Amino acid sequence: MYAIMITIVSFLLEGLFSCYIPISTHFWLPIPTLLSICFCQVYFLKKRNYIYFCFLFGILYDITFTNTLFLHGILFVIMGYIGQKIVHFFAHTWYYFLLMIFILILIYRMLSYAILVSIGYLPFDFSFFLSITMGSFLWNLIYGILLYILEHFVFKRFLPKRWF
Amino acid sequence: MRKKRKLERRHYIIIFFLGILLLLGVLMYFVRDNRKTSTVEQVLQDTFLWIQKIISTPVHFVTDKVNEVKDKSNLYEKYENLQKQIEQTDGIRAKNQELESQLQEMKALLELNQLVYESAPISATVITRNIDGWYQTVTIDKGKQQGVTEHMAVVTGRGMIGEVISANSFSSTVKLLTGVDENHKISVKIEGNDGYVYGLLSSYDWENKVYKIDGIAENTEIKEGANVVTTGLGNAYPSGILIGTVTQVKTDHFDLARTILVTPSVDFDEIRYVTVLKK
Repeated sequence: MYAIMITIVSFLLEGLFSCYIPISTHFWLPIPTLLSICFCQVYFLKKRNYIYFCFLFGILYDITFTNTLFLHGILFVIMGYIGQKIVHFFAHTWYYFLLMIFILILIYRMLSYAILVSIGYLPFDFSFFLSITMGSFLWNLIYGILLYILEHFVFKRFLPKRWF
Repeated sequence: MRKKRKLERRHYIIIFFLGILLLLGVLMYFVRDNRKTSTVEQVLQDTFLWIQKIISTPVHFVTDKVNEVKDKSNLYEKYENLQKQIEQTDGIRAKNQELESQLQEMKALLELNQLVYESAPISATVITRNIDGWYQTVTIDKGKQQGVTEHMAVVTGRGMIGEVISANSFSSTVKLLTGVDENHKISVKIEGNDGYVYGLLSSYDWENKVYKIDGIAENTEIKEGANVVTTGLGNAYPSGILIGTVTQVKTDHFDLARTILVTPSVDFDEIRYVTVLKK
């Protein structure tokens, strides 16, 4: 329930921020939907349900924002799976959480660019890839901190740990 | 027993790579600009964008009010500039009317149904834009019900921003000119000293924030500051839409090929209200 709530809010925020963030600078490139999906794994008992959740929101993301299909469905599933594996290596402190977000964003950007170049949708331009990737960190790390604060100071006090 | 295990591992590796190839094939089909969306996708997209529009309306209201307060800071200067422009407008309007009537006479004489510059505008608002960085698209709140179809030009008051690549019933996706690439070139013309020079807008340089135009055949001199507009040829959108102004003309070492760098007339960071031009 709260996983869906956080993800829906992030989904709507993504559309809202897109109208106000200066795109040409490649400095503020938020991906709150991906962050919330990686964050929400703690609310899932069964891994299979979490993977279905990632795929569903990936498809919705594709339909709403990119006019494509299945690309983000697959990407979000991969990112969710990677997030589940690497979360065990990090202690539950805010700086390790930020490091985890950093790694996930890097992997996400590399994967998505590799796929789009492989299928011929984008030409290969390393400087373009670098500017997009570098611009993705700052805003998303701030958003990650907000999610962490939300989980530790709000949800933990009032909510049961896992629902699905 | 050991040989059997090795065979199984080899099979898994082959299956894995075949799976990757299959996946890339599927993605190649579904990830392209000219893909026809299904009815279910269109309904879902319209629904989500409608919800997005409702949520963003109060935020847009507040930002508009804040911008209003900022604009009021130098009102008197703006008033003086507008006064000067109004004095010139009457003369321009009269000249325009004369040219329009001469054009209609020539159309009737030559029995032409339509000219390349004619268009019917459809106003729209940008609901979302893809900020992923890879796609360079925005979504507007007009669709097939309002007469929008694929390949229509989308402009703001300052110039062209892109073309419609997908139209649902109540919303459409616009690919920005910053996402133009070698596979989707746009025919343009540039004011030269001896008339127009024709070329192809082939890419956008993110580092310098300029368009690149190549395919220039003539040796006509092109000055910096010359306007670059659409030709209307080979595309479904009208001619004469401003794209930008020439910043630099580059030639290769052998002086055979020219590349023209063009500064966009539109600020792509602030696109809220657009017009779709129906040819």
